[in-house]
Amino acid sequence: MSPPFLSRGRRFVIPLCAWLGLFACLSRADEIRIISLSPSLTELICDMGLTGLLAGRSSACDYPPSVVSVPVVGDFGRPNWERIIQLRPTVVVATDLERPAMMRRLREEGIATLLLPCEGWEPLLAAARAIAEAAGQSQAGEEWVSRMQSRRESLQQRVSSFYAGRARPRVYAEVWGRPLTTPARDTFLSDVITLAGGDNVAASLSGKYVHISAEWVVRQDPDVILLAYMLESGAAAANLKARVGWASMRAMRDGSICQSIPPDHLLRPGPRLMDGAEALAEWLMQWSQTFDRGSDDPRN
Amino acid sequence: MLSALVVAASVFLGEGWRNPPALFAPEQAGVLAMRLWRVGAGVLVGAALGAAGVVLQSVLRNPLAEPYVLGLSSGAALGTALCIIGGGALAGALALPIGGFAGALASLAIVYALASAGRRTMPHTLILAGVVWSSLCGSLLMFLVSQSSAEGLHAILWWFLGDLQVFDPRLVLGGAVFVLVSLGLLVPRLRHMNALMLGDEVAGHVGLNPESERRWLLAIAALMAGAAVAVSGLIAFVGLTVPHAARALVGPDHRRLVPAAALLGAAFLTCVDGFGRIVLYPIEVPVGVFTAIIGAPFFLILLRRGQKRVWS
Repeated sequence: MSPPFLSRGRRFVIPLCAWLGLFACLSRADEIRIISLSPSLTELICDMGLTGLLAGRSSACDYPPSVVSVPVVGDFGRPNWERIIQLRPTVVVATDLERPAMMRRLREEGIATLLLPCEGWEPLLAAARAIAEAAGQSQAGEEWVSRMQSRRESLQQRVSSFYAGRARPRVYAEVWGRPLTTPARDTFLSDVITLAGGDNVAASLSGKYVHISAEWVVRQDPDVILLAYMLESGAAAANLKARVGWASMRAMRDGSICQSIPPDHLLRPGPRLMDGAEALAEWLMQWSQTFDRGSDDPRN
Repeated sequence: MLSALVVAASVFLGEGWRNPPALFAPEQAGVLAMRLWRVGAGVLVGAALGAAGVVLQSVLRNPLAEPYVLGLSSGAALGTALCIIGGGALAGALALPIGGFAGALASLAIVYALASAGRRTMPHTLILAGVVWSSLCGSLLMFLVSQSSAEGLHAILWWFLGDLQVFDPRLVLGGAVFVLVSLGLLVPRLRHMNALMLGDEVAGHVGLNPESERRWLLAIAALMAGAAVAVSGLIAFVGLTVPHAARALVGPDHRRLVPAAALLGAAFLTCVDGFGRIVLYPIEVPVGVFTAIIGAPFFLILLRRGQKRVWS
């Protein structure tokens, strides 16, 4: 049983919402208002040219800059139910089902909810289509998908022709230093590395982001270390040189540490991943030209 | 002697443990260095927690005392969490341990001040003050955790589980200095601990000032536990059970008990950590997860055997 004050609140909120809803229906019946609870989906919505439909965002949604004026409905993963209701959305989109009960309530209020985990290219494209359809602009979704696909295919072609007869660089990616966290097979970042022409050393491990033994990293002896820390200053603090035993690694001796790519371009499963993949591909191709070992590397 | 052997053997525990000599191949130099530092950290932390456990159990005259009682752990946790959330983790690799160390010592100072309102500090008052202070720190910690980002949360959780992977040798060396100084201060007091165990009156009769003696011993234990926490995060179970296991092995005389507990703690922790390196390799499992899983059955066996010998 809910305490009396809650049910009083509900008695107040529900009629209010009903009136507001009725008012909204009467005034602008066809208006679509989207609330995005995840930064990657916010980027996706804006990239499809639907920024005008955004009625709310999470506090972590900071890109593109034009979304700053959109009201905030709470932190990423911690949305505020009341704020969402106040903004009268017609659609709420989220990547994670962090609050199943809340999403159910939203549906009970007649608000469409789209749960779009974007861990991979296909889910990302599907998410674009789903959002565009919910916004009544399927065309925009299809255009975005084909734009993305053509960028991806051209990158794939460039990379595969570049590495014909060449060894692909073996990449160890680190997204967090304590504990060492690396993207295993089932992560988007692992896909991005592969697309960019790299060979993710952790792709042999199943799972998503895994805590990895430092000894394992040293034993793998990767060609390139890719630092993709969520916090930009985190990578600087990783201070790889000071780590015991790491100096013996090939990548450390050669100084093959890639940390110039903004982490949002590598970690946010949104449209800017393509930027990240292209930048990483560029970096790796330059690296390969500098440290060309041909295809006779015994480890490949 | 046995401990030294166990510690040496645990160097080889880890990937490639079936073929120990391969570790000395030149291309494995990096791995060997990591392994040695890690075992070194294990020795340091294990010895510090074992010895601090004995000191606290005898000073507080409570078999359930451990280095983390008296709010040491929660104080250290709070200090570390403040560091992580305040962005201290980014300021440098040493910011976190220093935060934890400061938190541990500050906690002890506060608990001691709270408990010694009168002229004498009773052990049970100390424990009570420690428990209450722990709860307070725990609540503050929960508040911080609830407000922190996902990454911050992760870092805090990992730190709670304890981890011996050494990234920065300076940290272990710094910790070693603190632990060695504390052990040096402790050795001349081992006889006093025997007297203290018999009660304040007896201790007074042999010419000790129980109050100041207790204060010294607590400070030493806090220093060791604080250094251990700074090096490895919170490693549970070692400080509580190693002293009992050592007592079952060598008896209650502190002149033998404290060194035995330190050695046993070192051997136990390095061994468990070596096991942890193998189990899910290459996935890393924090050592704190395994201390109780492996240690508890071992300890129970020792306890039963010890009981038979002493009481029957």
